[in-house]
Amino acid sequence: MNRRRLLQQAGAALLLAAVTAGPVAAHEAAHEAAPDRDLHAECDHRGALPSPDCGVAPTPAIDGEGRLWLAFTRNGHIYVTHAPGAGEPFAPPVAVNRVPERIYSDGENRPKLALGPGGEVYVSWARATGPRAGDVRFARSLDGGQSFEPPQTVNDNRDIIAHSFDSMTVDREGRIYIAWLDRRDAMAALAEDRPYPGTALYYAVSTDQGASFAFNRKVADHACQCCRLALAVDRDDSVLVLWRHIFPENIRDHAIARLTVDGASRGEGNFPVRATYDDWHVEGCPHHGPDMALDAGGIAHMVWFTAGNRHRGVLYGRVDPEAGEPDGEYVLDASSTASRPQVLIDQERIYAVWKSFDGERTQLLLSTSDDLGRNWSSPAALAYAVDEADYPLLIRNGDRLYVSWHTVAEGYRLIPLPTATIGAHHHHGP
Amino acid sequence: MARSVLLPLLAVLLLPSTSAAAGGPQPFHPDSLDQIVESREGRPFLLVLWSVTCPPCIKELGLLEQARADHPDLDVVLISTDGPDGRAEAQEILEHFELGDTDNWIFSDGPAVRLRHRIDPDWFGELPRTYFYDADHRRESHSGALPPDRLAAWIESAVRP
Repeated sequence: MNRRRLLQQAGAALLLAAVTAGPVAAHEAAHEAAPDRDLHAECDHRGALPSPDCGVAPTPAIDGEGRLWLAFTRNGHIYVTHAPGAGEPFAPPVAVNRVPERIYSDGENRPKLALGPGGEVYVSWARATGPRAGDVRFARSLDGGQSFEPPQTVNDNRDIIAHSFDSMTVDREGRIYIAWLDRRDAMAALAEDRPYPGTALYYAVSTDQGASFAFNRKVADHACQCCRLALAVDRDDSVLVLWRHIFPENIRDHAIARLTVDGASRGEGNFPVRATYDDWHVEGCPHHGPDMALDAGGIAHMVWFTAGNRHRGVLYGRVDPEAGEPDGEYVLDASSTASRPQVLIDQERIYAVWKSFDGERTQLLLSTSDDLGRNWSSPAALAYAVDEADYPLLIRNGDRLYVSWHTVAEGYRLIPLPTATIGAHHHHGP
Repeated sequence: MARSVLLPLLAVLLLPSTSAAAGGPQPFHPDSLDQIVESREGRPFLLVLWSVTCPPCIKELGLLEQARADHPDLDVVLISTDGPDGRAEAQEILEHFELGDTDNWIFSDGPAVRLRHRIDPDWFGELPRTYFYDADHRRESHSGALPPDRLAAWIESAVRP
């Protein structure tokens, strides 16, 4: 075996899974110890009480009664709070984990919040277990968010390696799906001196309201190491997962797969199903995962970031999860600072939001399509931030849509989306 | 030969993350790039952005270690994007690759997006990111781990013309 190959292998194995020891602390520090930042006024001291404004990476969910729930981290704890509706005051936050943990809480690798059909409150996150290593954690509240049961670890491999970048969703039957990036196969390959690009994608399902999770199942080998996963519940209650994959050789485009309670579908053709063709050859770390929403016909509408040979910037596209054959690629924003797109479908309209930095401020941009992604409105700025900005997250409350956005200077905002057609000028897709 | 390469890399994997680094990278502020460039008037250099969380970055550090051993006059500037709390871990990795004595920087606290924008408004933020500065400080960029032949060609043309 030559030196180059070994370097590749060892280097990849080295931090593969291991992602994000630094950013956790860095983001916390940004909130708690920075003397010369544009901090939100209430958060500008170490003793600031946990609140959505002063928390890190607040993540929203809306329950059946229209209440807004948020999970955020601060000082080694995840807190959950709720408000009766948009713009109304939040209840005192409840700590999810009583024992402090080192919690990954950068935008890409943030705690997740989901609600069960019976009012259950579920939280998942990644806890750092060592340098560049983590476990996927889960905790539930069965009393309407007043208290949380002790957290459990979802990954059944307990080595001090990376199990991280968890994503969670709940289907209509109340089954909980958690998918994550898992380094166990990369470590096994390293021990046997075999090359293994990237990391593996695993998932587990709970059919008992989170009392327990079934054994871990592998979806795919060779996922990109540190990009968030997108999950969406399909009409038949199966769950689709979209992730950045490493296609031969070092092409970091996206793949899609279907998860069920009984196992991951491997499809009839090539696996995994290729969801994007950007031809992004890079032996590097985008740290930039996709988002996805399903239409009534089961087609996945995706937004993602790429710097490929075929496309660059923030893109939209769609794919049939079984057949593959992605089409409809449309560049929503080609600027180099456009990032972190999210997508939501409401009735016949597709909403895409993302953020972009203009040299001075970060702007929150919105574009919409009324014809399933063929034409898009000109991007419109919804809000601005003068310092660090978290990812914009789209949520629905009945017939109202919002962007949930945390920014360091301005605090937590729930920004309503305009309901009228946005922008007079429509672009035609390529 | 094979073992001798693999074992040190595994050692990095097992590095403790808590030991404090003496010295180490200095804080990179919005005006730091001007300082870096101006102090190298008329001289070519390599500017590399990396992170402790990025596996291909670690591979690139290995390549740079070898390149510096082969070309002691190679001027390398390394900027970690990890922020102040990643400093100790960054320093451990740098020392492992015998890069502790290069010109090392780490993103200061403050909006990272502003620092990235000052370095290159056309950079999407992917890592590692390498800039080849020639003697006139015209620069070319490369995203992802550097192919060894690309580095060798640049050294041949820019460092030893």
